Amino acid sequence: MTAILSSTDHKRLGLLTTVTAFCFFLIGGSLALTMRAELQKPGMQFLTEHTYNELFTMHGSTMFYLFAVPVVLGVGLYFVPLQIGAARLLWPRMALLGYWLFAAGGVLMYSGFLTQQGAASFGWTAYFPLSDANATPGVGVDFWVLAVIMATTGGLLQAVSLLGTIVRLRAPGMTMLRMPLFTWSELVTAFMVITGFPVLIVTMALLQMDREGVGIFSASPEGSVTYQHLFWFYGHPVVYVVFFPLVGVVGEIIATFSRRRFFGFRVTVLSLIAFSAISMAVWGHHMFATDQVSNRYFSLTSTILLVPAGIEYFGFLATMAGGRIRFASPMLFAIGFVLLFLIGGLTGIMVASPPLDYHVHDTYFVVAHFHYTLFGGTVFGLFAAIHYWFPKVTGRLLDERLAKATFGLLFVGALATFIPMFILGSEGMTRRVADYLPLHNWTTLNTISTIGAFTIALGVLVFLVNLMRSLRLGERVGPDPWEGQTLEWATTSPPPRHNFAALPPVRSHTPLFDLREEGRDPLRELGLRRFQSFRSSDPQKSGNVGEEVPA
Amino acid sequence: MSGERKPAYPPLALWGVFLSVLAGVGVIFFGTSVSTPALLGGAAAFTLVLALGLAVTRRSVQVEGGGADPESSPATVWLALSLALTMAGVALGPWLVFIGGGMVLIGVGGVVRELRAQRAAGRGEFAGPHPPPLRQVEVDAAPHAGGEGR
Repeated sequence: MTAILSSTDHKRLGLLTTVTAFCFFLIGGSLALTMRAELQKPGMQFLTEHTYNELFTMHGSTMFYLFAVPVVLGVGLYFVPLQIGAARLLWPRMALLGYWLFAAGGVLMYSGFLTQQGAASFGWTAYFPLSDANATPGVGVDFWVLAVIMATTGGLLQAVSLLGTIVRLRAPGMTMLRMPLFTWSELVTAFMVITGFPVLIVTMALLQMDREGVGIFSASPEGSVTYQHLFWFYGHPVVYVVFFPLVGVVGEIIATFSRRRFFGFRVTVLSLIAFSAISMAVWGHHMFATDQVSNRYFSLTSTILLVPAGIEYFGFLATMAGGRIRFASPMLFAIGFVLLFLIGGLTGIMVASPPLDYHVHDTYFVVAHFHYTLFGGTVFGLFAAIHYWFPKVTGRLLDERLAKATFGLLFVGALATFIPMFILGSEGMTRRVADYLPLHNWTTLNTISTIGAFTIALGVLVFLVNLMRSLRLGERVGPDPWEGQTLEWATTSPPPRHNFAALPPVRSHTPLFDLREEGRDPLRELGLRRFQSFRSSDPQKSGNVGEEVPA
Repeated sequence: MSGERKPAYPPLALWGVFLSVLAGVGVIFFGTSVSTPALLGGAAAFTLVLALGLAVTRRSVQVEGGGADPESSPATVWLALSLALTMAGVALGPWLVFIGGGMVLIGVGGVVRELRAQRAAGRGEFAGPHPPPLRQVEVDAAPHAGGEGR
């Protein structure tokens, strides 16, 4: 166990980070269920207002700082070295340090519940002066601020390690434009992390100093707006930090399960770079209502985001349009990602317009919008990644029927939970409030939303059952059960300590697909055919579970 | 096994240029606001300097197929947990900061000891067992028709 917990192997480290982050997802999700149960009908049921404030603060904080950011970096730590043909991670100690800072930060953040005045209760944004020592005193709040510093520093260290790996350790022939889409998406994510995260770390350090009595934000009347500038300079790009890597995963899944190369690869890479750069220049749209930012500029940049996003969506659809699609579970989650994120993206364009934003500011409309980007984007993308790469990590397949049941429950649950919130928000139901009056007639919509949330929980439960079952009883598969296109499929499942015994020639971003196109069998060429004995690699026969393939 | 050496700085430089353009366009809108151009311009400048650094040092593709890491680094874990304790001390009192600080020193010493052991083990950066040499499947060296050039 000590060897696992202090391992510098990128696969163990990636898995450790991902699993820890997923545990935080379960905790954060249970907080959300508690809130939805409270909101199911008017009147305070079983929570106090203060407890409710703690719950939504810890839910948001958990999902951003302890789940979404670490999980996309964890998946990157596992698969980026494999995709670029590297045997290891550059600066593995730095990544290990990052993991432990994140994990310790999570423990510290939740320790707030054990303190006399409770955990933080000002929302995941910690707006000043709500987060100063007068409005929210207590050690638990200090813990929250320090935990954010630790978790964010951890993410920064891991991203630097990933960036260094991509720069320094690509395999021979792996030029930048031959890197797979997922690696590209992790690269641009690392760009955003190294520019955005230090700002939050410094901001939180300044906030803590202010709480200790040093006048920082409290020293001037503009302090609260300055705080918002600094926070959202991190806070908006982080939405893309937790989304971009999964765009890469979904792009690869769509290409693999459409049995063709990703359409418009170069343009999509360029759009990823542009998208991530523009996303650094849109933070002011969170501050439209303050009247302290240039609404015209931030409305313009926020709307321009539609262009690179549209290019990526066009790439997804054009890849599918020309392909022979297999609707296996990773592909279903990828399609779910595309559909649900579309709702989040389109409503994002709506709130990028200041007049519309004024109407729905701080209402459930905004809650619904960002949950379609974060749940539809990050969670569906993550589930797509898990179902796609589970055979690579474990050498076994997840049960397909349970996987499809998970997809169905999560998809229906996402629609039922968040669609009513659009209506509630438009009608004026404000967010971060523990109760509402019966005369508003919001009970039915809130009840539907609560049922939806529990449907999602059921879907996650089915997934956990599938995970536990498949780890022991799942069908064994070889190196490449999906006919993958990229280098991670050119090694055994799970990969050995140094990843590869042999590498195929890298002449494009789809080296295995290239070999197949030339009529050559990648696994035979790489000496891996003997491992592929349990599942057909013939696309016409895929799904014939247990079929023996002659070596 | 030698590889093609292709630079890694162009994407970062391109990203920095994008940020610079966005900051430049913003000049029309920002007026006397300081926070917005400072944040955006600072990010652009930082990125461009980093790209320049990468270009100058020509850090790029590995020449060898791989290396071996140390299998584990308990000292790094110790260091991280010590840093966490020190941070918690900010809220709980100086006594914990001092204890955590002492532990940090021990942790740093442990990491330095690990690094020195690696160097002593010789052959460059790595202490652990080196991986077997990579075999590359033979093919025509020309870029693939469906591929991307660089």
